[in-house]
Amino acid sequence: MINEKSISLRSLEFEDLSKLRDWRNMEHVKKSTREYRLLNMINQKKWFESIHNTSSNTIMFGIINNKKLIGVTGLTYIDWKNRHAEISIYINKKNWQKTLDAKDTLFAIMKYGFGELNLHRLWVEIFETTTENIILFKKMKFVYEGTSRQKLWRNNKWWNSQFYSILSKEFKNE
Amino acid sequence: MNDNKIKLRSVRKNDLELIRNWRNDPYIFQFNKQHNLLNMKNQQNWFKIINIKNSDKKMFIIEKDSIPIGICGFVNINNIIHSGDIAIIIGNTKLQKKGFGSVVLKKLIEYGFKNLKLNKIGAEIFESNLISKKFFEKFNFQHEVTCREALWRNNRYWDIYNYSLLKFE
Repeated sequence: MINEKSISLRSLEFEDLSKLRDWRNMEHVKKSTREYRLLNMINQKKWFESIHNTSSNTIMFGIINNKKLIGVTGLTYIDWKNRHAEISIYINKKNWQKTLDAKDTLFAIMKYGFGELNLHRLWVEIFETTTENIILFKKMKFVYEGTSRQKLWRNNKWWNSQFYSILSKEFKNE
Repeated sequence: MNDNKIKLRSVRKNDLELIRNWRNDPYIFQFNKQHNLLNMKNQQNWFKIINIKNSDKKMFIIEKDSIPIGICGFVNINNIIHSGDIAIIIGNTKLQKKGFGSVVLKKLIEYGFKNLKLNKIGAEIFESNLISKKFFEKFNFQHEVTCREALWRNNRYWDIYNYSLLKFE
């Protein structure tokens, strides 16, 4: 367990996968990801196997509040040589970005990435379908790096994505 | 510059040794993400990868007057959002800065939009590579993102710039 104020992080288990599938298929989560399919258990099992490969560059956690699993967070595309990784996060209720759980989770994952993995840069690509995430990451003092044009085709049109990052020297571990 | 002198052809197995030597040239790998020196085993694996069906790479040998002088193509090809990143290496370093790169880039842009049906062509450029920056800007690539301190090289961090060209441009 990794504890951070209102939430804890724990490892994900196989038994969690059906919940994760349901959440990832919810509109408020789906619109924030690159995934264009609706996911089933075959997809979930493959994903779970893949993050346990020795060559995996993904570390995932379940987010726990009040003993209940409420979402998933983790680091993906971990680059051990250049010491950066992308942050991944979603919580099972709408407008989760405004909650204290969201902030505590991001704080916990930053603390883990910098403090435990010795990473230098944590970044995130946010599609403009999900402006809620832009507000959240700005609030967490992530720095805007630029806009990548036409990165997602959704609802019959192109959407841009915005890149944000935080460097270890910018992170205040208070 | 005579376009006809420069030809792109597919990569053959007997090119691999030459490609390995180019890629291990310090002048060339300083501008690549590569951080190890490559051997023939690496090259053979790479050759397999570029030849599998639906490979995310499409590579060509650059020939000048029928002699291989470099390698180019697309990497990170994404068939969902129809994007891909350009890679060009003029392996014969004596032939760099003579305008061959421009001929190659022109051919690749055409190939990418027409044959690969891309919507967006990207290029990743290191902060230290001012020549590439100017080169892609000349072809109207737009600077989109600066990934801060995303590359560790020579005992310090460097920024990586993402450039791109959209089909309608």
